[in-house]
Amino acid sequence: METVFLYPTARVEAGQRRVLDEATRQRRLTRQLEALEKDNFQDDPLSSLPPPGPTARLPAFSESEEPEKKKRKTRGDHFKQRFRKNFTTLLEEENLSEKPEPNYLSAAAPPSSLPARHFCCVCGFPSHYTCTTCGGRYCSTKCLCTHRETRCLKWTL
Amino acid sequence: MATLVLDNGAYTAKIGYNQEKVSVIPNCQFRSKTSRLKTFTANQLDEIKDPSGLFYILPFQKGYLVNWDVQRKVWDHLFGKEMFKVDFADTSVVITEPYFNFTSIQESMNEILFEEYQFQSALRINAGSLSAHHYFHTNPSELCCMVVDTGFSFTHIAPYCRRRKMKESIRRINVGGKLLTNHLKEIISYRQLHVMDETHVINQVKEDVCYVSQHFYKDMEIAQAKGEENTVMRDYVLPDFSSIKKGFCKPREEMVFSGKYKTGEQILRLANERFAVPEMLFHPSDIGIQEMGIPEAIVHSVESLPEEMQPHFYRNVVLTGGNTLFPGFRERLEAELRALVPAHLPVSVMLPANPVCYAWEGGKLLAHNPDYDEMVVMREDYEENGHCICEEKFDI
Repeated sequence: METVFLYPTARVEAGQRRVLDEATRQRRLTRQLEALEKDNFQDDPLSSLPPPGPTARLPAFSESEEPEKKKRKTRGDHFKQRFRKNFTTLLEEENLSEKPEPNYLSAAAPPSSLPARHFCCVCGFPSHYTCTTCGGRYCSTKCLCTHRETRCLKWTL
Repeated sequence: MATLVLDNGAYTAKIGYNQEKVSVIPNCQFRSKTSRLKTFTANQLDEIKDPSGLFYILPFQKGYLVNWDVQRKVWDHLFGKEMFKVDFADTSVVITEPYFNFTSIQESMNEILFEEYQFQSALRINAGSLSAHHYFHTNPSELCCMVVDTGFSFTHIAPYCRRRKMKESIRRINVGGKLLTNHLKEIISYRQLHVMDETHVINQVKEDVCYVSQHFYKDMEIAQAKGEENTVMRDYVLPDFSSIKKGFCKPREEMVFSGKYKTGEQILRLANERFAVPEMLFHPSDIGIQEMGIPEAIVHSVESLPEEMQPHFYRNVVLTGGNTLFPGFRERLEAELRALVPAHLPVSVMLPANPVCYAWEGGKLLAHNPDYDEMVVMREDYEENGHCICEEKFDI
């Protein structure tokens, strides 16, 4: 059987389609880049377990257990207060804008002076065309079709 | 007295006594779908029979140590009786930290080393400084070297002149192995098979099939060709952790170019992904990170240094860190540097035999150095003077 593809013609449709503004496009890019920093995309396997029911920790009325519990708690508190900070908080606390250079911020490599290269966001090959809606790149009508069906407007906030 | 050298990376810890060999151990904890209640620490990874959907708990964020609970669990395991059996009262430790580490992290590190573990003495140092020490040790006639350390979290370009760190000219590119794996995961998930949960498996895919292209656009053309002519394309057999324990590339002669495999394994077909992923190190702007690539950043760093030093850096570039293991990395970097650097200056890029452990080996050499005792901070000194003695003595 022969398959017939109905390719959208970008030029004709451009007038009717929603066009994302520069700020939204930038936000999308930032979000994509943030996703590349994630350690895990799935949930913690432990968190998907039901919380231990009351049966799990019933025998707790012997006196000898008390001091041990206390000890553990203080140590945990110590760590929580002093050492539980994420990268962003630490960076803010360093207050680097007021510290002399060089520091973490000044060491970042500046933007490249070379022209940007463009790749099709569907297949990854060099691309010549830009999606009018979201600014994503594509290389052929086939990829444009896939792009519109899957990602074009789906990553917008 | 024993000296323990610990290159505390965000992905693996390189650890060993200065008389012995190095061990490379995951610096993190894991949870697995099959035994949900248990948390596996460091090399207990090997006990997990089915590491699909492996959940990572990492002590580092963006290359900086933030999750101390996890780090302590890993250290307890490493220093404990199962592994290095450290006798803290009679041990000196060399431990690495990233460039421009935050003061609060440094202070927590001092406290944990001296107060919790009670090491007899300690030396905190940048991993790059250990690499530079290694380089000057093996090349005593050289005056300068340029350490390119491209690891899990980021890439640093760090010039050293006569053992001195040229702090003003250090450059950081926010591209590392983690980003590459995540990017590969993302494009595979979009193009063929959902693998977002399989960091462990895809990291192995990256290590097995990715390479640095020497002629990027030419490889792109080859990768686009159909059938036999496409010499870039590989079919990667994914592990199922029952009959296939580890993924591998189908041998060329067994590849089916049109149609499906009858054998029933799960296959990833990789073409431009193979070299487009490591390409991020050379062109971060390809995925929208507005930073220079490694060759450009090296030139940018060198040009900020005094002119009479500059030729020395270009001919003493040394590569460290896991990303330098991509086939073709050294050649590509040398070729691009050659094109950027003035023609009368020689360019030489050196890839050590073991770029992952190059800094650790430097630490081992340093621990044997007669100056070592002068560099460390003793526990008594710390107890007497607190953090300021560490700040004074350590060059970070």
